[in-house]
Amino acid sequence: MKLAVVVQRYGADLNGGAELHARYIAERLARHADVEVLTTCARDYITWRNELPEGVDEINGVRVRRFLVSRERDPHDFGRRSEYVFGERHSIADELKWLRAEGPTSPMLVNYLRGRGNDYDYVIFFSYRYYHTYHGVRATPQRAILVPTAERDPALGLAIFGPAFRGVRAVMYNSHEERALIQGVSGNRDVPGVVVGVGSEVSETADAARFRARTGIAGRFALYVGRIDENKGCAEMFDYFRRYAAQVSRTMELVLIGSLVMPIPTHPRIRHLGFVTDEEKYDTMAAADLLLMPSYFESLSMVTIEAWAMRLPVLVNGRCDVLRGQTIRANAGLYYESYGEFAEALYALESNRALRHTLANDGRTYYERHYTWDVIDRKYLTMLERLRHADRAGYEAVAEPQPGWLERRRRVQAAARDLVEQLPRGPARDQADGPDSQDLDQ
Amino acid sequence: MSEFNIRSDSVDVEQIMEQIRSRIRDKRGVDYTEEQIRELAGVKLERFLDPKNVRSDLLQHYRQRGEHPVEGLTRREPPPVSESYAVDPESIYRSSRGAAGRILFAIRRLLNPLLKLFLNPTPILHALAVQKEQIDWMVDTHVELVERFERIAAKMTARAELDALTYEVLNNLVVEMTRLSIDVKNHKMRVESVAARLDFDERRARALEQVVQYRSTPRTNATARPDARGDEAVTDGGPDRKRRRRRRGRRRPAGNAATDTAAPATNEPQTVGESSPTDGGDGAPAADTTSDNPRPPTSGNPPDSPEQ
Repeated sequence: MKLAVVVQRYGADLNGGAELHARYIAERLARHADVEVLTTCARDYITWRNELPEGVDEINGVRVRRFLVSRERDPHDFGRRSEYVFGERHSIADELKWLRAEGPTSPMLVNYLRGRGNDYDYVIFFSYRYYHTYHGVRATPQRAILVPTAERDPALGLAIFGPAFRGVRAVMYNSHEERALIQGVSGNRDVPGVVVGVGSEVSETADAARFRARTGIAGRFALYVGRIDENKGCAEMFDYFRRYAAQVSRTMELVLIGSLVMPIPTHPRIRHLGFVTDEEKYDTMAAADLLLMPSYFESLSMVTIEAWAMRLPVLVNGRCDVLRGQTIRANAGLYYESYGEFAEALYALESNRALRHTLANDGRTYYERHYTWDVIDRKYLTMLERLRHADRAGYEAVAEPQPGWLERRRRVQAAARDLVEQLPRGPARDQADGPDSQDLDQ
Repeated sequence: MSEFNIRSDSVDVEQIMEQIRSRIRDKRGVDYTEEQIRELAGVKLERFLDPKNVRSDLLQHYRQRGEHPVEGLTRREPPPVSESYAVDPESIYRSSRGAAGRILFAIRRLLNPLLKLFLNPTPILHALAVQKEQIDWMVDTHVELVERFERIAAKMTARAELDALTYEVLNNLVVEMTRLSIDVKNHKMRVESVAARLDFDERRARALEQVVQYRSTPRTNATARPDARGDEAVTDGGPDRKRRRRRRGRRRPAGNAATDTAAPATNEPQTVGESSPTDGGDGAPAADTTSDNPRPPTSGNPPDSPEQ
């Protein structure tokens, strides 16, 4: 079987969520099939500037084919167009202009798919909202599989993505909440879909003593791993933790791992370790009492899954549907929506060893059941096999026709933000999360 | 002190969260999220601008003023002032044709007496001069009015921006007032709790004082006999011993109430009782009653008492 993985950026040192996800999947699938990655020459997701050489490369044993980006993103223009299509009544043509402004605009990549797409059995597209996915899915409807990596952001409400969600052969969701969002906005319940996510491999030799010897941190601590950014909810986390440290706990510390985007408040019990190696990260997890995940928007938190794999309970932001839903389904952590809940939940986790251990064990069980690589591989391979059966039976994908010239210019599309506001909220409760619950028979 | 129980062999995250919320509700009255506070504040703002008290669409206008401060205003420039309006007695004879014009002007002046046989140009010239003055005055007035209007428009724009800011400040004030009113409510509950405890402590102090007074006579005897105290300790009998035992028996419930709350909770293998970090209201520090992390009670947060 020959597969293509199409993603906006690709590289061993690129750690963006969707990009890392794509690399992991490509490297895992390469054990079972002939995999080629199709991507752009960009490294920077703000400008999409061509920084990597065009042509064929190889990364970790996977062949990578890079295409030039024809125009860099103009942030001002993109911001203006975003405000317009997210907040005003607009047309399909406006949305297409927004997509072009967002990028990475690589007609060469799309033309390659149009001309050589039939060389692959299936083409797996990552991130629904980019130029390459929208046009790539239209170029290869018979072979397109989508990994949407969607969050509750206004782009989801744009009308151009509905046909893309409905027009692919299968959708590999990251969470039940993501599936509910996409099905709510596009009505693609007929498209085979399965909640997969991404696997995780944690170190079996992680050593808490090694971490304590290296850092001198001997007491209890909550851990945050990720970009230290206000958009990730870190400002609120710092505020809550400082109040908690002043009012409730005399010993609990907060340890941070990750690059700085916002300043860290000066506090004797907030420690920043900077960017660390994987071994150091797992040592830190082994020593931690819990993982804090304050983000409001996540389509899948890989750090949370790693924490569960490391037998670490989590305390997550309950206003993020995905984190809250996962925590409830895993039964492996607590969540908060206000300072009162944060303090109570953190205090319960800090002070109650039995609770911590039970949640940690449940987290590990959840990880083993759903997020080991064997499980992820099996879900992908089962889906591919199913599509192959359908192809052998003569399945023909029918792409929805694009609106005509006049239709594209009619300003009848509602503001995307309003549409997304109307989508269902809260954790998906009526869905089992087991591999047996795959919707492969749809 | 209220507790929530977690069975260590079967944890239900949602149940724990419900218990946590229930505890917060019990301790703090109603627990509001930030969104709820803002929603509440928004409702109050709408009431503040209630249609029964003020114009029904005032709020809408108030919000819209900042968006369209000087809608429909376009500047109309005054007409250009032409030099030809300057009229003097010889204007009617002049010509603009250069040298030929000068000859023409001389001929017209020569023929002027002949012209005056047919009509009198003086009133016409006078009327034109008066009109010129009036036009000059109107142009000056127009320019002045335009300048005044521009100043007023600038003030209106500034006022509209100020209105938007005022609205924002007002909104923030209402949010803060809502938050403060909730805090006041919480503090009121806390004061009541502290007052109840104080009352209890006073009653207990009075009871203890009575006990001291009651014991004062035997102590006087003991003072007279320095070895009497030691004798009491080793002597197993006598009326003093019986009295002391009875008193201890009466004091026990109060003493237990005071000491039990500060003591760590038992860490049972199946059921783990937890204290709350927000006991006492609004996230105030709590006595650490955990088996896993024994710590002394934090100051400023008295432990719960049976009378509460």
